[in-house]
Amino acid sequence: MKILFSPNDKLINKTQSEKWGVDEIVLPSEIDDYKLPEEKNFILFIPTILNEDLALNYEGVEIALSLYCQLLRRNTTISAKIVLLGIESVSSFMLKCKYPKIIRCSGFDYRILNIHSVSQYKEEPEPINTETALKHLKEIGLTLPESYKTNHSFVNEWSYYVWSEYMNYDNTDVKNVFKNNIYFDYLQTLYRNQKTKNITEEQANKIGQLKGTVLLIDDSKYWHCFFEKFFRDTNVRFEHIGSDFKHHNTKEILQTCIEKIKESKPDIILLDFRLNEDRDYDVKNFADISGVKVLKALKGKQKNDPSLQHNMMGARVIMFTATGKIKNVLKLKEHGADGFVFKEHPEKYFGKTTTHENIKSMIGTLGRMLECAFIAKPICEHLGKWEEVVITAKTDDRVTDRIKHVCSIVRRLSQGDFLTETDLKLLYLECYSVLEAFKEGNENIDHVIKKIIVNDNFNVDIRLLWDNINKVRTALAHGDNKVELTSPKRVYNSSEEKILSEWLLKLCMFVSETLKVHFAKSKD
Amino acid sequence: MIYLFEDRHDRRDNYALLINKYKPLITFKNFDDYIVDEKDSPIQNLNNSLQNLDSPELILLHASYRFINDSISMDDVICAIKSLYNIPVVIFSGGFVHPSIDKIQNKHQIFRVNSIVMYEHLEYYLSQISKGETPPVEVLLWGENYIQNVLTRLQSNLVRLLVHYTPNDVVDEDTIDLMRDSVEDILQDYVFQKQKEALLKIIVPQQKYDTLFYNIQFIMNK
Repeated sequence: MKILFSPNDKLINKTQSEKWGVDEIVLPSEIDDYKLPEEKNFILFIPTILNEDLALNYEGVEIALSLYCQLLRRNTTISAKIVLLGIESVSSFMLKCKYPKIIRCSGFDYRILNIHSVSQYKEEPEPINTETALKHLKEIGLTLPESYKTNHSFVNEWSYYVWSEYMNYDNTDVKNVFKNNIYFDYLQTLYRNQKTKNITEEQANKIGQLKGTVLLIDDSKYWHCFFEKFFRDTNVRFEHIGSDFKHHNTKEILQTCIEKIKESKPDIILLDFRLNEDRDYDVKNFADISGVKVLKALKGKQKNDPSLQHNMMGARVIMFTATGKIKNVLKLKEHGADGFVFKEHPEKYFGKTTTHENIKSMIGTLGRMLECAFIAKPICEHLGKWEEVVITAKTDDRVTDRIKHVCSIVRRLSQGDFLTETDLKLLYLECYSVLEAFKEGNENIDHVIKKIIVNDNFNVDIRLLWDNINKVRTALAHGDNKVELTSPKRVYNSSEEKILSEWLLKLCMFVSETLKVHFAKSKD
Repeated sequence: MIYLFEDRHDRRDNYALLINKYKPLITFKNFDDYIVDEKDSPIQNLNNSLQNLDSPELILLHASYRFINDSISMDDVICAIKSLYNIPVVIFSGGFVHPSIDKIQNKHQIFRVNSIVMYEHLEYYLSQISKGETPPVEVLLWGENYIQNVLTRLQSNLVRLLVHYTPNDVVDEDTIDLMRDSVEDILQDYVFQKQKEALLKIIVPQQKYDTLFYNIQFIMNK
């Protein structure tokens, strides 16, 4: 089967197939949507120049490359020829065209655009050896678009595409965006025959176990769609904002984010680095990039909105970014980022194994962060209450000094992407030191304790904790794993992080109540 | 005067020296440089702003220009320019991979080009104008390769005129006339004088397709 692409329907139209000795003529208006014939044996004649005003674009060459990729993605052996119909000698073509090595690809041929070259074409289509063809394709030198903007949006869309493929989500939307993108065709072709490696049962189970609240702040609607599906069968309450950020300036973006965070009180914020592509490439200082501004407002040292920071200190901010620059990652860490989920870069893609590793790492990060937030968020809320009590009491003594110190230390210790057993013990000891401050100040708080303990809201464990608090403290400080508690007699194994975190939270509640009663009494 | 509607501060800073060097040939412009009358609609205000341009010859426009009023689109701007002036417009964006040209009734031309590419070629374009030449807008798309693009375009045009001939056919006089017209039409700029003369010498009646093709190729490669 012979198919001729017409560069201009005034020059070659459908009625001329016999004259040109071909079976089909494809008009310029049909080229963009053209699909290869089902036959396993065909010759395509494609003019190198389709639009004369932009002759140096050599549009026909890109179309030929795209069809070649289509051909190689077929799983059956095909005998084909792609004959480029040029307007100049081969050497002249090779000097001017961006992809001169296309001529060396197996299955390609070059002729002058002329009725004689097509009608008298005697070469027979040859079976194309896919391995050799792929080797040649790699040598052509296709690269990512150079411009920053195109490059950035390509990385985003590519990452969405491969991750959706891996997760078995429908990604027709992004496929349409990539239509006629030669680099996308190229990548799809290189990795076309990867052994189907999609989400494993183990991974699916891990995703199913996630619970908490996740807020995605990203200007790409693709990611909103992806994570909606990702968290669909989990106990995660998922929310997202950002699809309209391109109309907002950084101040408006920051305001919208803060309002949303206050409203939804997320455990995890997945935060894109650049929330408004156009504006963010315009800024000179790293700190002025929209995502960094939001990060700083949530985790930074400046307290422009203390209520937000108190609420947020336990929540985890995961930078969800396409940036691959180490200096950016280090700076984001410096500004308080707890973790990173990196969007997949096409130049670092080596097939579905890459995606498998990236998704695995993302699930791990999300799981860890949600666990951390589950422990740290309520603690940080208590710290906020302690500070509030101290501020309202307006006293300046050993206890208030200690509280300020403990709040700052505990907030710092409870950040990051891990809360180890040692971290929890340290947090426990720090919180406990508030109670010690009472003793050091010779404050008699027995009546306070009594008042709290008789309160029905506290369960028996609090009593247990209080009765044994010195024992627990000593055990933790010396790294003893088992603490024997009296009345009722129970053995707690302190290496179980759950128990540690439960005790920690109970201690915080206890300190909160103690402070409330103590300062209420001081006021009287 | 060339008006460069650029709202990206980094590019304004990076190219400030270049624009200053070629003032008053070219100037940066903002749509919000103009007084906005709240009584008028956003489109009316846009028209008023554009009406105030002092003898515009070319407008360079950032494709994602952020207008104060969100309801204004790039299509509105192009529409307003077309209704007021018969001048070419170059739209530049980091998102454009290949250059493209829209011809509207062969009168208004809209060029689309990658921003990096346009700025890269702007100095060459302006230097040509300051030497008293009138470079075509395509120079902003191709830079010095513009000449190459025109010659390739002509070569393609000539090959297409010869498309129905077999190697030993003698090219008829009507085709020769069309080819000569094409040379005259495409190589109007004086920079192509040598090629034009050479081509017109060889594109004459009573020639075989093969001979004509290789002679054209020979001149184009020179």
